[in-house]
Amino acid sequence: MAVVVLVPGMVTGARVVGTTPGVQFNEAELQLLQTFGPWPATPPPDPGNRLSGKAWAEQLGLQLFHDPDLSGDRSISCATCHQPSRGFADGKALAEGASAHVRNTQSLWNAGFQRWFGWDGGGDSLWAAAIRPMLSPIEMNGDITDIARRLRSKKFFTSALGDADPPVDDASDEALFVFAAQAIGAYTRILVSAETPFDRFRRSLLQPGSGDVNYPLAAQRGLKIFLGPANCHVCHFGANFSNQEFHDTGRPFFSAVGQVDSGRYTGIKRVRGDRYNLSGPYNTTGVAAEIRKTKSVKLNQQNFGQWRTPSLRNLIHTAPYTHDGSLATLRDVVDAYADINPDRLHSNGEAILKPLPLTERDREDLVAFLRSLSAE
Amino acid sequence: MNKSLHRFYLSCAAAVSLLGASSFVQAQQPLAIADVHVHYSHDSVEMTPPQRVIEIMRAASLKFALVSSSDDNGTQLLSKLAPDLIIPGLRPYRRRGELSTWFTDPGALAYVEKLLATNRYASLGEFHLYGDDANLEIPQRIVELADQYNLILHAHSDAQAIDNLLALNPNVKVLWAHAGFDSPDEIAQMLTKHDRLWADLAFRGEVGSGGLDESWIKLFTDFPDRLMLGTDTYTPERIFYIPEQASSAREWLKALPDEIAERVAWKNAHDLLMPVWLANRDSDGMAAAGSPSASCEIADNDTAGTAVVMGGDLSVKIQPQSAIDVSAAFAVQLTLCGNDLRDTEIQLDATMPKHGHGMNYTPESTVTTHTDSQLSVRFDGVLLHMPGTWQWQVNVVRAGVQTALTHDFEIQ
Repeated sequence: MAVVVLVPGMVTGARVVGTTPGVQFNEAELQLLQTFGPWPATPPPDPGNRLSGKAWAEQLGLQLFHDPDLSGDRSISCATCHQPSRGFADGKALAEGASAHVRNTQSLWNAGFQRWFGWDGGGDSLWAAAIRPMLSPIEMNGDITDIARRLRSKKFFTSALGDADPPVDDASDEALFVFAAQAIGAYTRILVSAETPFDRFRRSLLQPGSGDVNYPLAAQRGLKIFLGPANCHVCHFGANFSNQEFHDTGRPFFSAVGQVDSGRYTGIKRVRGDRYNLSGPYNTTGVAAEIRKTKSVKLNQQNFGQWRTPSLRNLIHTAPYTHDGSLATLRDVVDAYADINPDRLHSNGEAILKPLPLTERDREDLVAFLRSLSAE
Repeated sequence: MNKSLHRFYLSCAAAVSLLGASSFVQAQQPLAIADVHVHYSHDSVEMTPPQRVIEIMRAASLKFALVSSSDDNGTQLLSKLAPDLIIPGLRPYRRRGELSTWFTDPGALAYVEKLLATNRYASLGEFHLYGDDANLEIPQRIVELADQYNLILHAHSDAQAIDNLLALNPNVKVLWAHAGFDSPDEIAQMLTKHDRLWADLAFRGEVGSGGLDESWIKLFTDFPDRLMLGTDTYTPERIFYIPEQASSAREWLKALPDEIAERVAWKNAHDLLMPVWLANRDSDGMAAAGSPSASCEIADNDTAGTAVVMGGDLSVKIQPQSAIDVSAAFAVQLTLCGNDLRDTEIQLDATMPKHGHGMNYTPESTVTTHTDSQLSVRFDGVLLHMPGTWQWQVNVVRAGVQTALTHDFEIQ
């Protein structure tokens, strides 16, 4: 097996060589690294959303995203919890909307690359994911009639509608409400984070002569562990570091004494029963391949306590971590995986999850690698 | 109104009223379920009070539950609180996490012997035991104790360990946890081979997921007295899955004749466990009772990843319609060749045997060709969400006879 050795001031075959002491990456690892880029990438269209990709809709969505009139008492906007200055999260362990939530606010960076939305995947599009918090009593606690009335009073909303669209006055409250959600979906789709130190290092390995070879040695070692013994890449796969599906990683999911938040199990039921899912009347594109996932997703008891594999990009801006915000730092995350309690996992469950014999340095190296996945 | 007409109206009204009452009662009483795979271990006791567990079980309309816990305290708490609902089993685990050490740990055996001397149980288990470990000294003693105390062994084991356990003593009966995670064919072989073997279907998400498939219906039909239901509350949170498990089972059991459905739902568990439990409960502790195929045309334009799998007179070509990328949906064309294929159906699934799971989606199937000798079906929406070793599973049902064909492949 061929091995690329990064040694200061040398060239190995066609590879660019670093100026810092380097870590060896073999051909298999380099092949894997191919799958983690290029970055930034362009997200696919928001499914079922005819506004997706339209600049005016994205601009309208941005305004609506910050508009508290979409909440019941006009005090909360999407940006109240998804704060741009905090990585489109809120820095809190558990979200606080109209009342206390049992889940951590997820970052919206790179949400457009997801297949499902929310920790439980209860939304099958960005626009459906925008509707749920607006109507949730514990989040924005909005009401369709009230929101539609407020939307009608806004001049920018009227002017945004193109000639082909029905006049705002003729649209039903619900249609107007969904239109607003689809504009928000169009906006959140374009929240793509910038290139990171990892991306530049990856390029230097795969495209000799480009990228950045001055990638911290600790991060290089961490990458090696990520691709190798820790097996992180099996779920945190691809340019957005997520396989877009759901797993039980042994994290507790009690939301209070005597109550559980069953994650994906609830999410599948929710998406199936959602009036605003891709099979419903407000899908405005009708692309069969997009609807298939909603119709074909299986409900299985293994979904009980599964959570969406989050992207690993921009983590330094989005602490704390996991569905309930119970891990405060990236080091806590690494420790939680390394010291995973096998008793939390069924003996016939996800076989790759097992305690990892990582040294103190290994753990810090993994943290250094994870930090390098954030845009400065 | 004359008298007789008046009586007629009254009797009609009574009949309607009775019918209404009958319908009402039926609507309020879902199919009874026995859950034979519940653990209420130390961490679960900390998180959920026993009263709440009993509430959950009653809300799920459980007829009874076989509970075994690490340690035994949780079982005793539930048993005292609801003796009508709980059948206690004894696990050889003092704490969670002893599943791979107990069979060489004299402390585990001493713990079992001490509790058997003081408490009453219906079963010994659930314990984890594989292959020839069943012949080690401590498992041998466990089998002796099962015979001595009239206990059903509840074993999370492979087929080999089950063979070994049953060979150790001609009196013991085994409840095979999860039916060994084996296929319906393999389970059938074991049930045929051993008349002292029963199986629970706990944590078998594939049973009834999206409806009950032919292979399972056949198993339930061929062995109507041997299979039963369970949840497996292996983490504290799973206690809250008990009602979901029960309601899900009620749905897929509808695919079976009522009599068999009822047997699987609770009667088999009742017939196996209740006589033992009633006898042991009232006993002084010791034993209370005795105990070639047509070939497929391989087109020149086969895509990468195409495979041909043979089985008997059948051959099936599995042909991805595009490159397989991890976590991206694609289509697969299956072409089945064989004899007399008119009454034939074919299903495609994919699993990761080393990970214990399969796909998260049921692909959409479209029959493209169906003749006496060929059945071609296109499956859209196949999605393999992790890199690693996957296994195609092609299930052919021809005139009611099932053939399972598999093919392992790697994706990166």
